[in-house]
Amino acid sequence: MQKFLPIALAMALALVAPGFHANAQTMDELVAGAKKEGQVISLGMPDDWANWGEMWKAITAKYGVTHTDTDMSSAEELAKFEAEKSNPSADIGEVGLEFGPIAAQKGLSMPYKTTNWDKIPSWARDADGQWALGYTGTIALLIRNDIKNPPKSFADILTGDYKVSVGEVGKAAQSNAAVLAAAVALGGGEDNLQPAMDFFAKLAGQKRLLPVNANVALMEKGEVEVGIVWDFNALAWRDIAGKDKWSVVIPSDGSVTSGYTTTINAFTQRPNIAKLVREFAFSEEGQIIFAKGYARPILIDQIKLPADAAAKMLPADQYAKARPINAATWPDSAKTLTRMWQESVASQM
Amino acid sequence: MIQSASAGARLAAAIVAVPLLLLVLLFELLPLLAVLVNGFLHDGAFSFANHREILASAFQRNSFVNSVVLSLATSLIAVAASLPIGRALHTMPVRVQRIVMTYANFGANFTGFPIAFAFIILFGLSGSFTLLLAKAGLLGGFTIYSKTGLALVYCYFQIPLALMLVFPALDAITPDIEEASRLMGASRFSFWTRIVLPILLPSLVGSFVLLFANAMGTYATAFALAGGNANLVTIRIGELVAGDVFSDPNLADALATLLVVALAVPIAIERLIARRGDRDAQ
Amino acid sequence: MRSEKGIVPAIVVWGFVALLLLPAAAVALNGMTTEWDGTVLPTGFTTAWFHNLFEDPRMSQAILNSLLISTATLVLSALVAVPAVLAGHFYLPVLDRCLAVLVILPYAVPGIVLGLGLLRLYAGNFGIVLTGTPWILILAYVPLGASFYYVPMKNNLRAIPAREIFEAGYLVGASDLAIIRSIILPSIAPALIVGFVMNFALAISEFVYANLLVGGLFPTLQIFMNVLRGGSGHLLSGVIAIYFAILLIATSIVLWATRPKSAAEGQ
Repeated sequence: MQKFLPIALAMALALVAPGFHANAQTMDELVAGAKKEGQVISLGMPDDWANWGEMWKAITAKYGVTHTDTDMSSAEELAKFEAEKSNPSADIGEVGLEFGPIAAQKGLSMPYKTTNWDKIPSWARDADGQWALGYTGTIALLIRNDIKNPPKSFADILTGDYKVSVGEVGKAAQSNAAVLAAAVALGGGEDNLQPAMDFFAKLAGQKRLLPVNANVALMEKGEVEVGIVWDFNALAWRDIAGKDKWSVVIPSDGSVTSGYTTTINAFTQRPNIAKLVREFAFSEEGQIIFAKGYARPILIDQIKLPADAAAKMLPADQYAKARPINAATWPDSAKTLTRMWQESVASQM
Repeated sequence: MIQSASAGARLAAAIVAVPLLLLVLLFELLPLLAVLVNGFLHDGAFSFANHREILASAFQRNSFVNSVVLSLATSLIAVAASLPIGRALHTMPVRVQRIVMTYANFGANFTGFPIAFAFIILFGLSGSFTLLLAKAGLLGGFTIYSKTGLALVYCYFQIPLALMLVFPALDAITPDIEEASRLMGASRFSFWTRIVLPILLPSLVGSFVLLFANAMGTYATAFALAGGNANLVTIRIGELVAGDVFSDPNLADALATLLVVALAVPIAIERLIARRGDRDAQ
Repeated sequence: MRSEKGIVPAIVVWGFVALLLLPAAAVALNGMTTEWDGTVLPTGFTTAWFHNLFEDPRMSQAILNSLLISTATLVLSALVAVPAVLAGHFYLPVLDRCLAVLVILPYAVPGIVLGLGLLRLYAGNFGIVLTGTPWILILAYVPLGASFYYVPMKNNLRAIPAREIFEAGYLVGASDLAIIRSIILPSIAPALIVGFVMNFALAISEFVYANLLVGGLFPTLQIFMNVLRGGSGHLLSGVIAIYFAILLIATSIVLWATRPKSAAEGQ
């Protein structure tokens, strides 16, 4: 039954969309092809991000391939795909949500719909199979346990006296989302970042804003008191830096959810294994691996998480006020973010 | 320059220089040309639109001002510091000179995230020196996460670089010159301003230009220490070309082009001084 | 003459060295601790991080790769840049003026921008594929490091009495080449050495080109450091400390190999 479903699906789709090659192969064909390809080279999918380490271990074991990754930003990944089109070295990359459509529009990604494509929430996937979020992150507060009056919301932060670490604003999807989350929590949104600017300007004026983003090394060194990062990063870093020293909460007055999508290199010489990477990431086994890395699997409501993975997720009620980023309007607003930040916030520091 | 060199010798010299020129052409000039050309592309058409956008924006202009001020200041400090350190080093045995050069080489190349992290360990919120100074009441509001902090880190690698560049020039201040100066009753101040500086000026200016360019082009160190907060040209370029939310490589290339143009003034001044200095030496 | 200066030069010089090593020592220390949080000095020592690294095959691979690239860069740059600078200084003023500008240019342009240019040129779009191999790095580092030959050599050449040297050489019938080889070059040894060690250090500490053009296919120490940035700061500090050690050792070796052959030359 499992074997025929993809074929039936592919035939149906082939009838409906004439130029659509994405699922013309069977799973067996893909696996056989992958074995011949022998290796997969990825960009921006390092071991310590969203548990890709464990994911790659499973993929290389399952399909008998070797794996190499090079970490870089989304823009660099697409630049590499484009520059190497006559001689591609990389097969697949992971980019921020905003870059999925960019890659598709520039002809740099290869579409592939996983066998369970229809189960993915429609806001998290592309109609043509060019991109889909395997997991989501929601902006969370990473809090050192020994500070006074640990915040539960953005509003709380203003009343505290601890330092807040937000860096890389303008460049990193995570930091930009942090600013947007503050805006959302304080009554604004993608088209109205002013509440966030006022919030951070106030913190800067109080000399409580640090321009360097939280990371494990700084956490261990006592440089971070409160950080604003993705929940999966916050939780994973907490584990490394000391589970008893750090807490993670989703701000109760609002937050934003976004994700990262795999992008298959349109020019790759190894399309089979590249497609299988996405397939595996969306399979139940793959989704559980994300969960074990604290990354909330996109299909979380539809798969049964084993107890240890389920325990790693933050309680669902914390996500009550979190909403997905509007990927259509965000990239344009994000462009103004840097200048607004410089004018309102950096000037206060 | 050898005045009497034959045409044959000049030809041989030209041939000898070809490999370097070839590498410079293929791996420096061609990419630079690509950057220049790309900067002129806006929505697929050739125009000055990107450059105009940059020059029209107070925000972008500010990034140039910040970059220039930071680079100017740290390069001047570096050259100034290299003189006394270089002179002191010059009096020491060659064995010691080489050891110190080892460490200077190390310092000059200790850039990027590692040096930012090292300075955070020492001067961050919980930095060793921060805690000590705070206990002694001497901290005075200094933080490594500020413009001053960034300048401090820049000086860390600029000063040893300056030393490496300037030190070979100090051979020009021979013991005979020092002896003559002392015999003529010149004060230390006169010795420095009327003898040392004029002799060393072309070398100092040449070194300064390289230091200035080095600072202008610094990205990783500034980003690691100041995030997106530092409004420097290289940070703005990094956002546009290596970001995770949007990308505008053409605007980035236009910025890079203007950054190179910003070097034109120091280079022009250096060439003037070098030409005069080399002419005087003939 | 030296003893007249007294203790001040020694204080200046060794003080300078101490300040240079302080940040490095801080990072190295962080690689040896279990906890360093809010205290002036660490509160728990361990060699576990270093053990971990020495047993990690990626570490030895990275060290090997870095040494290969850096040594090749040092050798190639020396062979290619030193003759060119001398050619410009002694025979071709036009070349000299061009070099003066050419060697400075790449510094002002952020690595990522030039790197993307190199990627578009040498990743196969024009028939040449150099990316993905260490060659793109070695070849691209040479123009970058040329300034570390040009500026110190010019500075050193201005400081020696070149005209007198050549005149004396001609008097005994020596050719230009012989004069350059046996007198000029040893006279500018300080500058040459600066060039050697700076080029080696440039190559081993360069990240942007290495990551973008080659990346995981030929991982260097800097790339390995980047890979570890998402994890424990102590492990990362350990790698950084090892990288320092390698740089210092390699620089010392280069300096030892170019030491003056006789006591007379050394003074």
